[in-house]
Amino acid sequence: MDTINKGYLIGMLLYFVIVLTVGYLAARATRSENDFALGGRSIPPLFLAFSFIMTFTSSSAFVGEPGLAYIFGWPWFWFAIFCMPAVIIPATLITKRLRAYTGSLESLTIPAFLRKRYDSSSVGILATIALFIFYVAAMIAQLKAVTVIFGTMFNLSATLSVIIFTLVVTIYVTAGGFKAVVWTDVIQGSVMVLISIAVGFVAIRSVGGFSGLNSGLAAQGASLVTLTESTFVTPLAVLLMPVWLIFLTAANPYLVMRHMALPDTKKKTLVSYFIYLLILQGVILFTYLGGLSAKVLLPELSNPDYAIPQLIDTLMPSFFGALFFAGIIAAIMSTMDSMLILLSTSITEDIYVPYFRPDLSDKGRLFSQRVGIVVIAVLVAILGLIKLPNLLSLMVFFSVSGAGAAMLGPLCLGLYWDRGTKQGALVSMVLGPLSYAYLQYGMGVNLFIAGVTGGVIALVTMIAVSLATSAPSAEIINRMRAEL
Amino acid sequence: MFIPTHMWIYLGMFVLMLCYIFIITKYIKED
Repeated sequence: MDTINKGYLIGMLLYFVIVLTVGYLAARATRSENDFALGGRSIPPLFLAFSFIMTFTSSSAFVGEPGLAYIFGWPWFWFAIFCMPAVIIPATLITKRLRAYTGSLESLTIPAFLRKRYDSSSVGILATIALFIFYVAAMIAQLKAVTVIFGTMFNLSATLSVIIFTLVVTIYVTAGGFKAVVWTDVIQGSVMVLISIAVGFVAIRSVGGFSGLNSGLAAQGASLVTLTESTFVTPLAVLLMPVWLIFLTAANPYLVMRHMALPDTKKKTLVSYFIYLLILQGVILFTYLGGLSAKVLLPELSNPDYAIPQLIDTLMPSFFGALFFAGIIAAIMSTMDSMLILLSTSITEDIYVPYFRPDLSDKGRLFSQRVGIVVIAVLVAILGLIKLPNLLSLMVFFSVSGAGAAMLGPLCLGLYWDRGTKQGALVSMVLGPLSYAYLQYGMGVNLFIAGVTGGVIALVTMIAVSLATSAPSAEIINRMRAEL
Repeated sequence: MFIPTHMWIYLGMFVLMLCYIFIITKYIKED
């Protein structure tokens, strides 16, 4: 785009005003640490479902993954297919227990829950450090998406894009905490669901329906229309993809903190929450159809990450484009804001308060969480300005795989297996992510194979080391089960 | 109208997950 589209500019500024207003309103409704970290556990299931899906899909659903559909064609669509069980199966298995146990042990974050569950401050600290490393990397990847969007829309430089975006996110999250995060997710999530359907529909229509799409893709390469392909989305990768995705969604604290924030664990609440999750996840990835159609309509793109932004710019009216771009920015924000809250709460709860200020009041903790957000956001922005990743989605996958491998053993086994010990949790948290990272980057193993193997190693080491060490205190397990 | 195989699987997965939710939530004990 050579000139700045005024419609896009107005849309984006309007969106920033809405977000900052929501931050202000949420700040007025935030009085305690619990309000700030989990919205006081009073947010309705529909809102939490919106928030979960917007956070899970993040920017990669609109920028990175359609880029992979652009590169690999229909084989990449398996990812959209498996995202549905990946959201639903872990949610049905862990929500009730996680909500009940974190309530009984009065934990606001997953690291705090692990610290109390295993009665070990080392477990809490190690979990916080692991999440810090991987989520800072994930947030840097989100900044890459911001530079793609702002670059396409306004010809903004990467530096200015990163500064403006970080400033807006930091202000509304610092002010309104988890409530601001969820409310902005609901507003934009509802728009994005409609727009994802519209993009899918318009894109398919513009290439002459599914038959036009398939003949257009086939003309560019036979592997684009086959069930699987031979470089990345191989048959083995497709088999392992759902397992990998389930590991991710079951064990990533920035996602499962939504399950912890449910108002109660009554059957009616849970069923409605699961159905909302399925419906929203079911339609949000229609953007992949845009990525596939872009391959036919815009076959010469220099960077596949630009597939959807360019497609929107080509096919959609300006107003629609403005909404869509604001929605993508919202999706990026919703991943970044959740990670900021989780990290700042974890650092406050698991490092700052126990080791430096054990007598800190609730008000003081709230202040510490807010300062934490500013410090982490500035750090991420500085690191982002030094070096941004090339292909967005792969960086996101690395971060959530690593964090998932670290948490899978202690968190998921910790919920179902009383025999799990702190020694098992500590070894699993180190060996899981290290083995995953070594397989993928040291040996060049396929992402899905490395991710699943890392997860299995995390589970096996957790079981083996726990069995080799003495059982945890029955008192803690009984206290944890009080609300189940 | 032609519907690609991946789209059929996508629809099938949606229905399967809907059934799964109704079946598994039968086993949730009411508080």
